[in-house]
Amino acid sequence: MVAAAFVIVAAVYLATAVSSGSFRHPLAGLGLTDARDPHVSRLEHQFDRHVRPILERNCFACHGQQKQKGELALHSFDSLAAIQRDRITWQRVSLMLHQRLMPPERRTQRPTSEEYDLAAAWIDDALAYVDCCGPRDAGRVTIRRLNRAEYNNTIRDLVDVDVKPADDFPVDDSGYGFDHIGDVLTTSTLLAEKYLASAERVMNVAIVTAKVPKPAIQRYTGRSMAATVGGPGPGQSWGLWSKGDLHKQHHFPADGQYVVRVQAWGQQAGDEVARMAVKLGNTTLAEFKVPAVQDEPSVYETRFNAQAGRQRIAAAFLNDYYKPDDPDESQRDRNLFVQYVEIDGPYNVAPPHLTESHKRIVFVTPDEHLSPPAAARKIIRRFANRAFRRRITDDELANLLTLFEIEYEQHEDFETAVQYALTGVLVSPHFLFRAELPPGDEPPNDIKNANETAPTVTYAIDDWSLASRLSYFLWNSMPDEQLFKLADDGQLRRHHVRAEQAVRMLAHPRASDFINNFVGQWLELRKIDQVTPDPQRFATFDGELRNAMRREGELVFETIVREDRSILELLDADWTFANARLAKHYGLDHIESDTRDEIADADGMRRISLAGTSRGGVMTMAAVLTLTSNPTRTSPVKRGKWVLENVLGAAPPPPPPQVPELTESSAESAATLREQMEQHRANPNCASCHARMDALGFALENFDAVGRWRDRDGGQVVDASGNLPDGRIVEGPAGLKSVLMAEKEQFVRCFVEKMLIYALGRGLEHYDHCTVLDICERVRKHQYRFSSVVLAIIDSEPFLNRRRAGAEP
Amino acid sequence: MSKLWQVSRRTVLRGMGASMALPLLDAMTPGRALVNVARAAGAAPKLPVRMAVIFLPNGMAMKDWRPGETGSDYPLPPTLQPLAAFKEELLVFSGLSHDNGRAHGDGAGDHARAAASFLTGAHPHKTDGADIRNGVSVDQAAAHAVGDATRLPSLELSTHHANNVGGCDSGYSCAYSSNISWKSETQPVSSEPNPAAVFDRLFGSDEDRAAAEDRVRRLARRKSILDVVAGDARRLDAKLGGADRRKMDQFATAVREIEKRIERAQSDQAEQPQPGIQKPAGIPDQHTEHLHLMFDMMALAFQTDQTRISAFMTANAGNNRSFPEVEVSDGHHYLSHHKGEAEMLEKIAKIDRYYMEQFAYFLERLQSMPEGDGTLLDNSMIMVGSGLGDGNAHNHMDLPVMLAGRGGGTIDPGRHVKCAGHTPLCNLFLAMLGRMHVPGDSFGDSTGPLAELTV
Repeated sequence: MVAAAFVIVAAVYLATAVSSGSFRHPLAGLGLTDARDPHVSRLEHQFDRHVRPILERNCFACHGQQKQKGELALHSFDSLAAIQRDRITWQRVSLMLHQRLMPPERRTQRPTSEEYDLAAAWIDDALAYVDCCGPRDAGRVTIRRLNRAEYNNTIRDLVDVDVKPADDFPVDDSGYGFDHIGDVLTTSTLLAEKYLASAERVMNVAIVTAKVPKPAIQRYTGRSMAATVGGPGPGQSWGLWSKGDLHKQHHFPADGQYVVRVQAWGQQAGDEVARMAVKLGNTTLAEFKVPAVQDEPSVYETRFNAQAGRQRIAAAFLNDYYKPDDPDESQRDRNLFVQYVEIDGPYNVAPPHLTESHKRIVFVTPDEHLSPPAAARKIIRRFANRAFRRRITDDELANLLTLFEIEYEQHEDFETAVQYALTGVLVSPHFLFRAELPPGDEPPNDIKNANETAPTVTYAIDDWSLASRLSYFLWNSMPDEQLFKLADDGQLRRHHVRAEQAVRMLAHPRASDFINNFVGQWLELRKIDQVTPDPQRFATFDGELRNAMRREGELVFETIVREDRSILELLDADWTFANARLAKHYGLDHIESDTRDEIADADGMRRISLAGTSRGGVMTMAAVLTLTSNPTRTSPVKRGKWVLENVLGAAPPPPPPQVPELTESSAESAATLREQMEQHRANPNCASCHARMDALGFALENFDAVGRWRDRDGGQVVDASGNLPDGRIVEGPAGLKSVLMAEKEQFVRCFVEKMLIYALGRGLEHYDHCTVLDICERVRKHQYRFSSVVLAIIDSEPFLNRRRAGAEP
Repeated sequence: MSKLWQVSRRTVLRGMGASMALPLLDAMTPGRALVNVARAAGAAPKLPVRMAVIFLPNGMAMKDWRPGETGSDYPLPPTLQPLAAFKEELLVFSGLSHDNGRAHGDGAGDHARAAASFLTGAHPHKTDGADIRNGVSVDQAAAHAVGDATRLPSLELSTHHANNVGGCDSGYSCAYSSNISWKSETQPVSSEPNPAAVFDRLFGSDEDRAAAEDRVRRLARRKSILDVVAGDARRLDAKLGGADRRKMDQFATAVREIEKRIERAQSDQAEQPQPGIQKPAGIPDQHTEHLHLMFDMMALAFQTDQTRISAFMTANAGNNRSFPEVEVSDGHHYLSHHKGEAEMLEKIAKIDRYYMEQFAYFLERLQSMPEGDGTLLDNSMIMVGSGLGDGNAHNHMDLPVMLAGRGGGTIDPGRHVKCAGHTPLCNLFLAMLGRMHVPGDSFGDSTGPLAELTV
């Protein structure tokens, strides 16, 4: 129920803190080791002395002893602890006070502006405060179904086939900025249908069920075949009376060798015997002289190779002879009679080509020592262990075996029956979801009188779940054999083993999935595929440039990961990646590529130096500048908001209702825009947030709506300066960079929070504060190296543990 | 005569309760033979009523949308001009509102609330993820009650297929801004953006249609797999707690629904209806073509009685697409914050008009399909509108909404109706549900079924 508590509270608090000129973290510098935390004493003191009296004077009339409008009884909260126990209520109270929504305007008794601010800030402080000395709440990640990317990758690694079935799945909804949040992902009927169809499709590709057909004889009588000439002959034969053939479309069951036999005889006349050709399609397989006569027909046969499928097989009469005036009646007419044509085969059929995935999955076949069900049992167990990412139980195996048996009893085809059972595996919730069950089989809801600080409310997730947490964090996919082995051996709870694995995983090619997914969402790079800058104004923007923009962001982040560089370089790197196209866009095409790198990828992206230029860091990437612009013009507000949200982790609180959102006019002139925004800020309700947002955004005004440098806009010199509420002036991209570097701890915290959300698949709550602080501390100690973020996260309380159901604090 | 739209009678009758009057589709029989037979037998032929709801993002330029006069003789305002041919089939409303779309202390996020409340009339719980709660949507309420009559209880469509990115709207999870259909308080219904996939859902996949003789075996195989899966879900569910259990319930419900559908198909030997058109190739590059294909699929689904209920989200809430189709190069969402500037309002009106042109295409399709003595449109109720009125003010009152079709003769269109005060839009939903024979006397924040549907 705590919902977005942390995010909102942090945002509101920071809005207050920042508007008074400070970016300091609420908990920074607190004495956290004292048994009696002085901060708590201070909060309690402030409550009794100032806050409660304000509430009493202004709120209790409607929300107190006498009346409880909206079922809200504020008087019943008589201590800091009581308030901290009901965060939802007090978040609302805080919002009401921040936005001056309560008491209603018609009431004469309302707080002064100072009282409003004081009470609201105190509530935020009280709600944000967590005692980091006590036992930690690990939180509870809601069971996660695989999202589209995870599903595709898992199928790839599990089955070894390169179909991406999830591309057709419904779009995954996102929350907290990411699209793999357990709370948000749902399963609709549509998706379940697609799971089933996908499982069938994947298994059809993976398991080869084609068989070598047994040789068989198919005989066609002359009369049952089609003919171009002639008429019925004696018995079932057909007489060919002139040049022409007798034919049949025959189904050849496989590529292989066949024998065709034709029983025929000739009504002989003239100076040669009847001649016959046997043809497959247009190819003559053999020509025969047919000296046989009606009383003693002969069988003429030949061997040939045919491809599987329907083909025309024919017996043709080649040498018609007709001399009606021959005195010898028996010498007047030569004809060919065909009694039957038969096809015998196939022989020498090559066994079906087994795919690599088939060989890996169907690793045993039944023989005299191994019954089909026993072989199936081995195959299914191995496959399901990997698919469920743990050791399956005997009951689970038995269920899957019933699928094998149902199919095998009907058709006695081992591969088909195995394929069928494995299809079932891919539709099982154990495959589609990552459930992290408590150890043993304890009923889930038996926690009575749960003491919120008692250690038993959380449990250590088992080793297989931990292996999956690692692999879905750093690979966006299932664990590999090494991780499974370590899980089996119970090694993954050892800190150094985990660290070793993380380092190995980050160096693995699969880490690209993590890199692109994380950065695509954190920096919103994915959006670049959907923006449509006005083609009139920005004629150079096209698919190629769009792609280069996205790749730049991905490659810069990838480099920081792979080379384990400082994450602060995301703010102030003096290098980036560009291909010729993007370098031209940046006006940097004269810059030599950095000699440290060869061409980085197929798009021609390579590392280039930015030393001495105005670029460097994520804020000056064309992708970011474009996706925070409108199609026709820049938007300092969107850019400022983007920096606050994604770099400083201080999302502005929602604007108060009844105050129209600031929107930039369609006016062409930047100066007019600036004027309008200044007017807007004259409204104190807007000023506190917009002062910051606008200043940060204005500093980027030298970049147009597709991220090109510009000195002038609409004929006027660009004014890229903004005034921060604390009096500092931000001047252009360099100024912005130095402001952000001065707030680097704030950036680190933001980065850590985003990464923690990504690693856990849940939003952060107030109790995660201490974890975030610990991680930040460790990152600082390791010179902000990227690996230290990952290593600290995988050692953290919420990564290794899970709160029991029903034990919500 | 063309066999394009022939449907087997078994298909149509499938799943209908014996007590229900037989719905008869012209497509089943040459001409209107069966209708005449039924009529001769003294039974009035009863054709099923279809219901569709269509969501448009970002509100409207209200000045150009709202007719100046009420009644049946009103001049069409500029935005509605593309619908001139259908004026007699339209019921344009003023004054319908979603009070629950308003902030009520939740601050910004009107776009997310507009989409979330559009069909539910509920106030979505503000969260980025944990504890998502909204209300049941009108299409799902209908599907739940009467969806069993057809092979698909309902059909949910959209055009968005790219991955979500970042936050969607001011602290609201994307679940709120990218879904309009809600099966339960906690479960949005995902929608299909690919017309080819919709085609497969309606008429079977390529394999399904190619090998009819394998169909029985395939159904049986799928059934057995789902049996095992359902068992897995049940046993897993028993070990779960809290929110986990809700997720597993959703999965189990989805599995059960497919099982039910398979059982129905097993007991019904009728052939799949023949769609009579080529399967679409996939998602087209051109937006107009995409919208048209989705409308084609809806019309086909109704005509072949594969479903009677459909919801179409033409774009996500707050969508910022530009419309080169009508020479608008600014983003829609950006424009909707027009601050009263004439130039921006003009562009919004162009976009609104564009949407009405596409809507006219849909109505044309429905009207071109004869059914009984009239057309498919006569037997439909198609609601189209936006969850916001004026995009700039972000208001949820006096929403731009209209209804097309005659609901099987239960609606008197051809009017502009001004509803009193802030009449809940849910009153319209309640009136529509009544026409779908859905029992119940309230929906969302309704105060009673909207009487203005008839004269």
